Amino acid sequence: MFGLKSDCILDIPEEYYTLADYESAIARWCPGCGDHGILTSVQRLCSEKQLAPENTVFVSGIGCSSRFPHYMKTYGFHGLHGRALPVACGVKFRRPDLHVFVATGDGDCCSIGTAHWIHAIRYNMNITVLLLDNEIYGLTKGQTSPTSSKGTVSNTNPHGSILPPINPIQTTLGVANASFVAQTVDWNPAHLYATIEAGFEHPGFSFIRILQRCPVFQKELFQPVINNPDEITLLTHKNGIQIDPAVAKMYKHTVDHDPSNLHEARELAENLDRQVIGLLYQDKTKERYDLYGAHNMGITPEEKQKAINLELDKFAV
Amino acid sequence: MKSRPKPYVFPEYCKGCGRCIDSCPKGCITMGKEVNPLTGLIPIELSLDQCSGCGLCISACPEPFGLRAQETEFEFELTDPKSFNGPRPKPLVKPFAIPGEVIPFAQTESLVTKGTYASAIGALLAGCRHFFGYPITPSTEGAELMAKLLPDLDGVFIQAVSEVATVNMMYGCSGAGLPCMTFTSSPGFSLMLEGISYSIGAELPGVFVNIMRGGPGLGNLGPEQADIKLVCRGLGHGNTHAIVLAPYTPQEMLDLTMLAFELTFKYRNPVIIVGDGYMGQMTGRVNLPKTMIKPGIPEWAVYGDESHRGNLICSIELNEADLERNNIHINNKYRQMTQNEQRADLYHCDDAEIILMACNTPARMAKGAVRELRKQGLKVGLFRPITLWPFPIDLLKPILSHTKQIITVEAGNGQLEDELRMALSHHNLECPSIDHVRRFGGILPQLKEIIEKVISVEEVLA
Ligand SMILES: Cc1ncc(C[n+]2csc(CCOP(=O)(O)OP(=O)(O)O)c2C)c(N)n1
Ligand code: SF4
Ligand code: SF4
Ligand SMILES: [Mg+2]
Repeated sequence: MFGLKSDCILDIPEEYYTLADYESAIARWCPGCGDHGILTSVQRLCSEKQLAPENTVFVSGIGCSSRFPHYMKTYGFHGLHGRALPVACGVKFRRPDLHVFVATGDGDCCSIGTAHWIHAIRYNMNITVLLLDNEIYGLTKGQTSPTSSKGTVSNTNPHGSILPPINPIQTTLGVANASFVAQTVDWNPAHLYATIEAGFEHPGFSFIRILQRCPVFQKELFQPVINNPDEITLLTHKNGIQIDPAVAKMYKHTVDHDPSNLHEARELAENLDRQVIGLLYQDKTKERYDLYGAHNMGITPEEKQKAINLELDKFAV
Repeated sequence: MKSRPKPYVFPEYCKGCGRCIDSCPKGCITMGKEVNPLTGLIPIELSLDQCSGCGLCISACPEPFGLRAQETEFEFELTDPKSFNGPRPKPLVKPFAIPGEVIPFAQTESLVTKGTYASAIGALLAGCRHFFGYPITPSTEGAELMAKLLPDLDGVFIQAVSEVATVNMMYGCSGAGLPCMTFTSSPGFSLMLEGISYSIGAELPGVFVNIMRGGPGLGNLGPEQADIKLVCRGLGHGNTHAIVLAPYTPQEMLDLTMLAFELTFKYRNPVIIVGDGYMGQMTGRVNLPKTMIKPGIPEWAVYGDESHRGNLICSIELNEADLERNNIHINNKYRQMTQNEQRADLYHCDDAEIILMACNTPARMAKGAVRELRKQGLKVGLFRPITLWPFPIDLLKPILSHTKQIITVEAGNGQLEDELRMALSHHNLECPSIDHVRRFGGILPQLKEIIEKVISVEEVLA
């Protein structure tokens, strides 16, 4: 109401984090890069949710998008190319008290990191994963990525790419134990924010693919969709992503998709004519590996002693 | 009631999985104690006193001939398989090589181009038509040129999903006996080591160009020479070595790439080319050779044609004696490489008392320093190893008698110096005094620092 954010409310709680508490170095992404907007959304989420910076971790791989942790004044881990997820899973496995976010790119996640991606979906740890998908390798200056659409001209496919792209949403929906799969776009801040928020609230592995503009190496890629929202299908449902009706009105094509319907989610993901945005699938009851990882934390020294003796006694002579 | 047959075991078909042991209700079957010399596995043992002939073990055995019923009567006649299909259309041939050709290359004007491009052009002239790679700065331009050219040259360019995929694509391609290569940079090279070890074990060629960047870890994109230890001493697991070539001009990027393809097939062993980041980016004049290569297919290749049938590529040797023999054979190849392939460039070394030792871009600075210092009348020379492994000790030996001081110049923490020291030690050569100029983090040793170092050393010597 009145466009007021919680920052403006006078009833200040004791511990209060403002946006500035999450802003670190000036982002070194190119002007017009979609990553800027995503960063702003995430910083806003942190302050809206009052996430203590010391209890929040951003993990990434390598790529333009993976510079994300440098720009968050939280804990950060800028890992190896393709390996953000094993690191993030490690953090969550033994520190369930921390809020763990992952920023990864389409090359990082869907090429060199694919094996980790598939298994992280199955582990279903309570992590929020942002796939910043510009359908190109940005940092290495313009090579084909697994999500580049067929015919993409790049430095490694000067005559146009040959293969149909991987659809990260379809892939994620196909993996056992997937629990939260959503898609959004960097140029609709309301939808972007609402989607990241829903992912953050989800108890499990929330996979959010964000279509991200790269004005340098994919100049015109999303321009037609930005100019013409009719090219997008908005998923609306009472259990889906909730956005202001004024924003929702932009989209002519909508589907009232129940996110518990995996079958329909897969069909929507396979729809090649129009990109869908919204929550495709959610199931809060899937098994979570991180709960197992923490189950034995804080046992007493006596219990440890007992366990060791039980095993070593077998070797006693 | 029909008497039921008791089981018997074919020891050479039993893999010792033990499923029959669990299936026997009478406990007649135990795990054996002796290794079967034919299979290297331990077959089970039967003691049939209690056996009721229930046959459960026979159905539990996953091997078609592991356990059989004793009283089964086999009734069959052996038929010669030849008679099924008639005579072979063609006789079996032993694998043989299809020789390559050297073809004249039309004279062209020299090019002005960057190091990675020069290397890619060298590979094409050496007959390489198969490129596999994963983008990584500062090596990617070489791959990008291949992506442009290979489709028009009846060749193959594949952007792999990672460096691990890259090296295994190369493993397959070189298994077919075809020249193939990749461009990568330090972190990517690290990921290729497992596959390189397999290639060495399976005796396969392959050219790896590692444009080294600043490390450790992701480091930066600046030039460093900090992978020298890795390429000379650390090519994955096992007793591995490969010839390592270190170019110092775009011209050498081309020439040494062509040489690399020759050597990699000569020895059936990978060859590594290392250059610091500047070596990849540096632009210079490049003259093209007068000939180029149309490669053949070696007789060992798994090529999929009649002249290569029956070949098998592998790096597994389960039998210890075989693996030792294989290692001795591979070590013999290393010895031959060490005897035949040492290369170095000696600049003003004939009367030098102080020898600068450097490779890649730092050798250019060192050469500049030699020029300057010679003008001042100092007896300084540059010894530039072109093969880092094998270290060109035979070329260094003759000038050691008048060398009072060696100064290594490196963008790294002394890895070239370690190669030098190891070579001196292996040859029981008296180690002259060794000093160094070292920079890190993507900063190269500067002309001024080298000159200052030489002058300070010269003062001590005088
Ligand atoms: C082992 C390894 N191989 C290659 C690279 C080079 N590299 C850095 S980022 C990148 C791809 C970036 O693409 P993407 O993940 O889509 O991120 P973007 O830059 O587009 O955000 C590559 C290949 C590397 N850093 N490490
Ligand atoms: S290259 Fe593209 S993805 Fe990278 S910062 Fe620039 S605009 Fe963003
Ligand atoms: S089940 Fe067959 S293969 Fe396995 S141990 Fe018994 S006899 Fe051997
Ligand atoms: Mg990308």
